[in-house]
Amino acid sequence: MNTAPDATKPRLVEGVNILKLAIGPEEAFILSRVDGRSSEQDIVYATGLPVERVRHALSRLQELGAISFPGAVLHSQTELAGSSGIRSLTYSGPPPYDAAELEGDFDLDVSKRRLILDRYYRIDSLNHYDALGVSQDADRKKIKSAYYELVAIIHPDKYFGKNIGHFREKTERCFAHITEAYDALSRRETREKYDAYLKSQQQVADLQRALDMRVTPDELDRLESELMRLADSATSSSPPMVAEQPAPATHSVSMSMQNIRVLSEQERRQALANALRRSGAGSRVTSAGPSAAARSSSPDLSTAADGLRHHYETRLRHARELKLKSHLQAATDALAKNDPVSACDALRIAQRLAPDDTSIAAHLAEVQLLANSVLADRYLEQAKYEEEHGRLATACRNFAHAAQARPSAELWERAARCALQDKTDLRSAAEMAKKALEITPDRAPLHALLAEIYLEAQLFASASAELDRASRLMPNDDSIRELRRRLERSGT
Amino acid sequence: MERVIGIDLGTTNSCVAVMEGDAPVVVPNRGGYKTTPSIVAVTEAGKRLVGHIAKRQAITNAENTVYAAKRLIGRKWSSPQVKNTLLASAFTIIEGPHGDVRIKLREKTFSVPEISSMVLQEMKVIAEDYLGGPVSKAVVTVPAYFNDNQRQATKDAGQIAGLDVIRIINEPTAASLAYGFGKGFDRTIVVYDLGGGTFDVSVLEIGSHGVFKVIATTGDTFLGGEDFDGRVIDWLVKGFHEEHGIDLRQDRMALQRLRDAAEKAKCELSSVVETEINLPFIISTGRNEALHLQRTLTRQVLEELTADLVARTIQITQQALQEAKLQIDEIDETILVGGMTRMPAVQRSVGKLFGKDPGKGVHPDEVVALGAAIQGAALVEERHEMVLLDVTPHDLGIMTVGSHFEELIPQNTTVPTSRAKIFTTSRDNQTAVKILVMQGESQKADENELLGEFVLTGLKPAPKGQVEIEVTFAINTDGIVSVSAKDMETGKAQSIQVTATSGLTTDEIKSMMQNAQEYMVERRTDEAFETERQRAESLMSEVESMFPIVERVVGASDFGRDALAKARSVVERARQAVQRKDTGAVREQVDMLERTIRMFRGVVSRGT
Repeated sequence: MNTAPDATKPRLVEGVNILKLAIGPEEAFILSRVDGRSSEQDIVYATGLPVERVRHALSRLQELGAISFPGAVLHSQTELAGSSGIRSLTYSGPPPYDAAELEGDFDLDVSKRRLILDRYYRIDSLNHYDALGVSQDADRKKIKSAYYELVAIIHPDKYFGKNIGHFREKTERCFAHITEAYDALSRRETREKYDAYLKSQQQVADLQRALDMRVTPDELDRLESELMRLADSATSSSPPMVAEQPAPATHSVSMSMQNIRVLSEQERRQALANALRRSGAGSRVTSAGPSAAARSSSPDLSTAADGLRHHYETRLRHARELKLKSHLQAATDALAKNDPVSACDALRIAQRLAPDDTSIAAHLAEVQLLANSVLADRYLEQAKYEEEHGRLATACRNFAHAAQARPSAELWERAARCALQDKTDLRSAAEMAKKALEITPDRAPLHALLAEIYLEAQLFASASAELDRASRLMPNDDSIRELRRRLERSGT
Repeated sequence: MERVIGIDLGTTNSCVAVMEGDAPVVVPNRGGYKTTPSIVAVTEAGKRLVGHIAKRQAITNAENTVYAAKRLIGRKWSSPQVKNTLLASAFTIIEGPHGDVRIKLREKTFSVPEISSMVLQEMKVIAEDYLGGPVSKAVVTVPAYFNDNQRQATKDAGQIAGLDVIRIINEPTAASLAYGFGKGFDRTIVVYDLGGGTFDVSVLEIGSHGVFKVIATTGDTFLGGEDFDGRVIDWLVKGFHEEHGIDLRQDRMALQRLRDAAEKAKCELSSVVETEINLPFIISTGRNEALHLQRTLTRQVLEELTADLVARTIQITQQALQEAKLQIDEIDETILVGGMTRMPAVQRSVGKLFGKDPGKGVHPDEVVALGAAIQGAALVEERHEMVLLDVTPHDLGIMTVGSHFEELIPQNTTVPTSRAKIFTTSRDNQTAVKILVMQGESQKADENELLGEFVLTGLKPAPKGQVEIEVTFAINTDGIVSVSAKDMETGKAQSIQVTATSGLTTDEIKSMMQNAQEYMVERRTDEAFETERQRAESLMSEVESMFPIVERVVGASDFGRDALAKARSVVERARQAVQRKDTGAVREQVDMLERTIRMFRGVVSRGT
């Protein structure tokens, strides 16, 4: 299962009021370390608690609904109590429904009620693979048997002539949902398209982040701790291993230098204290405060401290240079692999490490442009997929995103057409058509399109004016004439 | 638990099956045949005939014998298909009160579902005789390509016949159930169903947990065995015209004889390569002499006459594969269903398309009814592990401005399913929207089938385009379409069930049910009378045969004379009761006759 790496990384459940949870300080401490990126092991390190206690606290937090393990979709092979050996096909995490919904005098056992409700309220958040409970590399046979197994429980005919109340509608909805997933995944052609769509979605998220200048606190923490490690290794005898550490390409980090300087100083002091402690030159400096050490009256100690500080700073500079190099290399590699997202990330870190280097800034701007163009491609791919699958509103949005990233009359036109077909937002449709016209003002079909949008919106005067423009540009066009007829019919 | 019967209501023949334990069996009719012709006739005396008996009298009573009512069921009078049937039928078709089709038989008018109900009723009786108890639930099959109006009309026919049709299923799907039920297959199959009047192709997956999933289905409701017969009839008529200058089509009786002969010849040519068509005295010349028709038809000529029909079925089959997004080599097996698939040219063409011979081991005439029985049992009995996932055969949508058809649920979507779409108002302060629900593949709304219409009211008055209404279409497993609409702003929701119409009102159906029930009572009474009559007559002759010996033994005594007189009067009363057709009186006399016989036996044994 290729979602496995994430399966072990707990994630905070949005909208949970932590204050209302019945937890103790230790659990709260552990909860504070849950960031969606740290694994159980990471949390063990971060908290310094024994692994059993962390595990126990995490499972309790999961039970309480405060955290979830997003990748771990199914508790497969778990038997459901009271049912004839059907696999539990419910999802992990807290039940997404109100327990009161399980009540009712229906001809349906509780395990099945749970199963149906659990799925019903997750329909919008499950991708096709999650819906069937298979991994993204599952073969066709596996997909088929997973679907058939679900069908044998979920299909409404299994409850023919029985009173299952509101569950009937819900089984129908759940059935339609897994069937949609199966229909998409069971044919090579449609599955390839869906996979491309999923991948594109992921890429867009990455790209968005790469282009986004904000930085999240945990990314900041990560960078700091990395530098800490560098400083630590600098003071110890072992050489810094920076060059061997791959740049954290997927983490975009960009922050103001102000921040980093303040924090570095702190670190430096801390590191110095560590170093002094470790050097242990007869003196027992037990106070942890680094300033205490610095202000120490002993001249020997002071000299030693200065020497060490100098040594440390040199080492740190050295480490920075190495790190800068490695990030620049990572950027080059990423570009070679046609991965502007990672390149952007690496360059941004590099820029921060060497804020005065204008060539890096220029390079970053260039790569951002490239990322933008890739982003446009991804948006376009998604828009096309959505358009094909009748999700016109989202298709329209993505065409517009693509057009924004790479302005083109054609993209605006497609966005406008989707909006027109979808009929929900004719105003935007008109705006998009106008944007297309800004680029190519003399294209008759665009005027005709705008006219059609106006016509749909019942803005007959505007429609008529656009039609005039269209027919001036293309006097003998049938579709324009047809629109004119439509206008005449509805205008009167 | 009451058993559910499965009925294959065919264009030319019908078949009924029930589940016996874990296996479905076909129930033979009283004549011992496993299929019954879907033919209904009314005799001169006003008596209704169904099945073989109706078929036998068809030649002499062509104008009052209905063939292939299935071709007309659920159709509108204005449809081209009805016009075609009008030309080719010996019986009279007229327009009904709701733009539907009615059939006139001896001054009485019948709706098409009523005619079909007569066939269904016959199948019900066959099953009841076999099971020894009343039957009230059935699964009835229809061609996959039937639209909702045709399905509803078939359901109505069931209702008129006193059957609760718990599910309508598609014929090719039913065939696949009979083929794969309980066998634990994991296969992808194609069902090629060429019946008397319709052609269907379905592509299915059969897999674990008894799941049968239809991937795609397509077909033509006006392509079947009758079209093959038609080609032979044309050939005969043309030949006869060339020879004698007489158009046999002008003579209804001749046409009926041609039809029978054509069908017979076609069937024979599936096993022999040449057959004789011999119709003596087919028509009078008007100069007091009669002409005979005598021709030889070879298999080769038949195949030439029908080559384009077979080619069309192959083309439709390819289309089904395309819709299923499957390649030829991904198909594990082909199943042939329907009597027409006995034709060697059909088997050859299908074999050629798939690169392997079609599967044997299913009976083309019985497999559909067997599948219907399986589905019936699976629905009402939990122990059968089987789920059938079928698809919508046609696009479902609504009519929008400019008579444009806007599709909401495309064909070959697995049911149950639902789709939602947002609509808006087109006029200022519009408070109601009319929604026309349609089915079909045409872009133009008026070329599609109207399923129903309804009006959404109570919208908040607002400028045009400002009110957003979310319209959700849902189709459940019974194929019933429901539409719900929600005002996005107020959250106010309305919903409505769209029931397809068979062209009959509820009252009409009720009155037809009444008629059918009365007919059943009459028929059962007739049958009861017939049984009593036979018993009475055999007892009467036995009593009469004993008179001489009784007279000899006790005729001399007063008691003897008295007994003989009494016995004579019993026989006389019995005879009168039979003449009056009074079942009750006959039954009474049967008792008396039996007593008389016992008494006579006593007298004779004591006296000798």
